[in-house]
Amino acid sequence: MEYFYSLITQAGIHILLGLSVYTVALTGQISFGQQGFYAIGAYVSAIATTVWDIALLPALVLGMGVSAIVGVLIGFPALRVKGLYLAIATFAFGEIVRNGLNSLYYTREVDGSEVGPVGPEGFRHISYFNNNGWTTFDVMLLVVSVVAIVLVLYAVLERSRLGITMRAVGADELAASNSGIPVVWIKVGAFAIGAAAAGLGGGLYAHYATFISPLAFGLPVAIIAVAYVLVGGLGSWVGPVFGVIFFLALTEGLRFLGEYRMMIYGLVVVAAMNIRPHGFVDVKFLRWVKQGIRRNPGNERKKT
Amino acid sequence: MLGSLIDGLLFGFSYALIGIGFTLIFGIMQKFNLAHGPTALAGAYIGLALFQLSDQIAPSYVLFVVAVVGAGIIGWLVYQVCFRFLPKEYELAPLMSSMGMLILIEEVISHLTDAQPLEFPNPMMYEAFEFYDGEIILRHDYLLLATIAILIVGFLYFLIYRTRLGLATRAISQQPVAAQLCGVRINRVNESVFILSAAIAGATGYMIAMTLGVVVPSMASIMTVKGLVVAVFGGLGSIPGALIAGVIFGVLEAETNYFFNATIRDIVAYLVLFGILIVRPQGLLGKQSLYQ
Repeated sequence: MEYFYSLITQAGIHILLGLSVYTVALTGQISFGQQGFYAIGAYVSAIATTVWDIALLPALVLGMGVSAIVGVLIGFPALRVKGLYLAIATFAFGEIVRNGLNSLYYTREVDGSEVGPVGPEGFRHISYFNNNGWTTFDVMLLVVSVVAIVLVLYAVLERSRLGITMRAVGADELAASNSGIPVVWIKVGAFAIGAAAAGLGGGLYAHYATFISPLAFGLPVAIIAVAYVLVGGLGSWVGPVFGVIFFLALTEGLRFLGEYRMMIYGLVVVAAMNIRPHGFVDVKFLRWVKQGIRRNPGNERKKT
Repeated sequence: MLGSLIDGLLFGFSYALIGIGFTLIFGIMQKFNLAHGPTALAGAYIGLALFQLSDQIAPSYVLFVVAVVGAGIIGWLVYQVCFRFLPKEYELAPLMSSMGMLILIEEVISHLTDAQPLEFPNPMMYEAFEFYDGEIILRHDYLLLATIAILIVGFLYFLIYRTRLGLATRAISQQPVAAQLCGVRINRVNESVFILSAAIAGATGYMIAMTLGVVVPSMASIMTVKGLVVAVFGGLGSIPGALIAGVIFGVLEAETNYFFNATIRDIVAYLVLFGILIVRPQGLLGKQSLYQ
């Protein structure tokens, strides 16, 4: 059971990471730098609970807030850059954060042992859950409820005016700005929302993993976060959620293949993109689902 | 300091070559091929395999040619699998599929070599020109790398401005639809450019492996990242841009590594990239984008 609890916890954390890329992607940009915000959220909230002795929820909110603020500060200059150029610029940001963490030393002595980030050696003893007697099940409940709240917020966002505006910017920036949409604000706003989601995910990850190091926030995280969104699809928030479940099922389901696992993994990604180039849950798929829902009641009425 | 400057300058040509591979494909298809790094590394491994199979007697130039041809074939495969059947106007789908290919090639290589670093034959090891009593050292293999890079760039210029393929390439990069209406077979030209860029990748991979004297599977993603950084820094689609950016990056890394350490080196390199992109969103020598 413990295995499934931690699997669900991981899925929840990664859904937050996927959603952060998804938010930026809604405005037509692709970001390879969300792992930077993930790292900031993880480090800030972990420092808050261990070094400053703050309770978990305020610490998570703090990590999220700092991420969002950094997102705004980075977003204004970075969003001058567009398309695949932005992908590289954001990746540069992520690498700057990661290498910066490599030289971050900030420790305090607690019960005879040093806690806090120690440069490249990482950040040990983030033992908030352990100290307060949380079981794996409790952690899972926390993550699931946080993710559920975030998903509800995303569902509301997508139906709101702001969500539609974001999609308009993503579809055609020039047309959007001609229709009076403040394109820069929308893009920076999406960037900040994405950064907050990644920061929240990072905070949960740090406490779930109890050990974080700059190595955990490198290229592989950037790639997988983008993969969730591109394989899952950009049609709605269901896309990244589906992407996370797909990849988690793939990594866990292919375990029996041993060392061939990653090869098959690569092949499946290539095949998935050939079969559904816009991701599984794309706009067409959503239209098809909606039509299906609309058609069925009509059919029943005819029968009766 | 001068020594590391020269080393960085010469080694920068290898960055430039990977960057040119990305830039060539972007110039014609407006897409990234993330499998470029692994293609380069696969070329180096193919050369190494032949070296081992021939009881370590095959001369380096033969290995080099084999590496180039082998990488070209892998590049053709990558094109067929990751680019050919995906929608032309959606650049994110091939980004992802070539990502899958990156994982696949890297994993196949690590599976075949047990992920162990392997020694790479370098006939010019320890050979160097020395000036001012060893104050300044010009390593022969670095010089060869730079020479090959310059030859490749010259060859590319000849190809682009003096041949029919080059004419078709330029036509497609300017107006794909109009080029197709004029009878240019887009798929065929894309395929040729892809094979060309993969062959260059093979040459690059072989030269990098030779100068380093060692190959590891994890070099694949490092090469992809460096190549992307250089191509974007120089301006996507611009060959001289990639060349200049590669050399600048080589020098920058060598100097920051000399004065500080590897962490500061990476921070400085990425800060410079970030700064340049903010000041010039289209890279050093890139064209202005549609909206500006």
